[in-house]
Amino acid sequence: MAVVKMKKLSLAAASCDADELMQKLMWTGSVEVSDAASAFDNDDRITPDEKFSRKLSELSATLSRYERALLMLKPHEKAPKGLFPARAAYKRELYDSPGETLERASTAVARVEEVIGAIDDATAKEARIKNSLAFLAPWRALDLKLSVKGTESTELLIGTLPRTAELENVISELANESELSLLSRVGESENAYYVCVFALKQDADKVSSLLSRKGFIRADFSQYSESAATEYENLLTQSNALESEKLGLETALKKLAQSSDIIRIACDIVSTEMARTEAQKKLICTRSAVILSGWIPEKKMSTISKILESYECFYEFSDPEEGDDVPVALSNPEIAKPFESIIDMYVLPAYGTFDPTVIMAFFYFIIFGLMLADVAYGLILAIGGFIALKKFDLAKGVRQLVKLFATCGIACTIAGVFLGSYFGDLPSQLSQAFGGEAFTMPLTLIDPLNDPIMFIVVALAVGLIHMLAGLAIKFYVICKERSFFAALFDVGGWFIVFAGAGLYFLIGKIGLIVLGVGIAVMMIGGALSKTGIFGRVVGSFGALYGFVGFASDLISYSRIMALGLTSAIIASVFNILATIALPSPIGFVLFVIVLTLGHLLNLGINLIGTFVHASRLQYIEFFGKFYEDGGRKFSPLTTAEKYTKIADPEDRD
Amino acid sequence: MFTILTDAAANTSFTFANYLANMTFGSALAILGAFLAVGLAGWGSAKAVGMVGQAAAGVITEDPSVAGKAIILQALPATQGLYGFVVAFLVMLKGGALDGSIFSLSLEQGMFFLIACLPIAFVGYFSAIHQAKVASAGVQMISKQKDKFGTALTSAALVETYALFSLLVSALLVLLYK
Repeated sequence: MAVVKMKKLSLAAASCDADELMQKLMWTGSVEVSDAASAFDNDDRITPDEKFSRKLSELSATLSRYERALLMLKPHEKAPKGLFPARAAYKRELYDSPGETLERASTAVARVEEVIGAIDDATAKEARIKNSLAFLAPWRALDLKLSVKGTESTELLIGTLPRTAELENVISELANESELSLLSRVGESENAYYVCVFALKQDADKVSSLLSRKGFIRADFSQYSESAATEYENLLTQSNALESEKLGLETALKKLAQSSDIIRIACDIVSTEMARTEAQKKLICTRSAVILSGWIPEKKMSTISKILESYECFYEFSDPEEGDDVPVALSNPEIAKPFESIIDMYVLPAYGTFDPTVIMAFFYFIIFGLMLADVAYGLILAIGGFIALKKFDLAKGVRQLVKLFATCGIACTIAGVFLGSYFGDLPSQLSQAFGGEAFTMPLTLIDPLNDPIMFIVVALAVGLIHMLAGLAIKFYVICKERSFFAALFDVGGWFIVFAGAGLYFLIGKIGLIVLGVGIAVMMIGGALSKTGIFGRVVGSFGALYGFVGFASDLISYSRIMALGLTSAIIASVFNILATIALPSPIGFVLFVIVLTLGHLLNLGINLIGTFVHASRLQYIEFFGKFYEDGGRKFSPLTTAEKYTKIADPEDRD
Repeated sequence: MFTILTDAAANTSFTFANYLANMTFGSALAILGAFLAVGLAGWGSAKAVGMVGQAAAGVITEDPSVAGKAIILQALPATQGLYGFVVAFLVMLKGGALDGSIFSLSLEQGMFFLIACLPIAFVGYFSAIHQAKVASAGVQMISKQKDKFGTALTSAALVETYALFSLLVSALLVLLYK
């Protein structure tokens, strides 16, 4: 339970070894590379990082092509089993010599892109043909080749007239303009007449100006030569051909989907290479050497030096100096590890300060249990969680969270026994439904509905111990950093005050004296922290003001009872609804449905509330007493395992 | 009403005060209290969840990967409605709606339940809306910096404290009523 001690790694190696060395260091997953190159940006003695920038942009282009291909293949893949399909595991050799894999992936992706391109082309062509079909459809009745523009002495005008133009009027006006013209109707739609008009060549101008006044629009048949009906049939055949071509392409895509596994590995290989290149960009590169500086956890020193021994290089481990931006990693026993995610969600402790994970885990466990105290809910969380951990291949962060809930499920079960809650008051409700008496379960210490005050007292007692633990940590930290007396005057007063209060209730008046001493110590401590007579007087009374803050923090723990009560009452509501029609046969069906849905809903809603408020009590009330935040998370160079995972990982923490 | 009048007629000392005290109008007041608790707090929560939902929808269209976190933030101000429901249920339980005896609550008893419901009704309504504002801001925050989820969650949870306190006051008043 501590913030991991870090060592600074300085390394100078030959340029020719750089790639291999970085790969090896990456496998350890425990080297964070610091950006040393940017300090030398304008120095021409070192090669600018152009090479790496170019490589990075190439890699990221490749990656996005591959991921796009995967996205395209996804609907054609066989559906993976389960909610969280397991990632395929591969040996490390595959990542160290990825040549063949990458080649196969690249061929597959190129083929996918080709097929997708062909599908896109076909789709576009199909859309164009659809437009043409819609355009030609009304003209199919016109028994003329579309290339005909007229005869020697007549002009042919084909087009549409709006429905608003009275066709009879147009015909008679046309006859007035030019006696020998002819308008014939080919067809009509909702808002237009399809017409063709013959006119003598010498009258053509007059006729066309009359027609355009009526709203005539000439149809453009420039790309067609046969009759409309023939052209229409041709296009229909083309469209059908395209349809079957597309079907063929889809089948090809389905076949290609088999190679999506190889594309997945390639994606991870490429992202890993990107991470490595990103790290290499941070190195200082001269013509023949590279210089790396970075951070490693202290206990990894031997692993790292074993790797470095086998290369011609110079390296050195040194302690962090004042002003260094040391990254922070936490190291805790396996059982407390899931609780690190609670701290992760807040802010990591600053480097070199106290890591409260284990102590926090203990209190989080208790508080979570009291807030969601129910044997059945606890078992669902615990058993469900552990099954999920066994069966599903969860991402690392989700895994920790599931582990956290599963662990806390045990707490809910224990607290549920003491609060007599099994799916709320289901046993008692069932007994009533079958004509029995209401009862409380054996082993029940507090019944929250009948004895809410006792529940509040327990909540506040847990809160008091929690806060005193926080103060104890502060005491310990000050002792270590400064001195016992500094700690005594800073926080020791609190303990004397509470010891006094305890003695007063247990023995009698002597407790009051101890309590007085405690207050005096606190006032002296307050005075010592200020300078000047006036400041010291204010400081000493200011210390007493701490009682107000302490009291308000304590009251805040009553939320444990409020949340516990909420989940118990909602559970009981669903129990009443579920048992309402028992013991009739329909009642049993209703019972199962309402019980399942209702309790799942209750568990879901209260799980969020409990998670949030149990965390809040740590952040504000507990951490507020001692926590020094501001740590930067240790982010070592490591492999990308988004789609795949390493079958033989090295020991990592 | 008729029975009251006949009872009152039989009573020799029939006064207005006596009439009021004997009125079973109290059950209506208790139900009004339950309505205010579940209605006002639920109204606030519905409004609040809607507000955060709109903020979340905008953010999720840009970056679908924050959906899970955004929805947890959206669920936070839903609890006030839940607290209101809890108090309303307790009133029904203690007032006797479940065994039918609620129809004989006196004016004084009904008034007690009505007033006991007010803390969660009003504080629930307002704290839901205010929590929604913080949660919406939190959704914006995690869309820019995903690792700030804990901060977003905690600052929204701070607002809820006061809804929890009013739930405690309302629930204890009802639970401890003899």
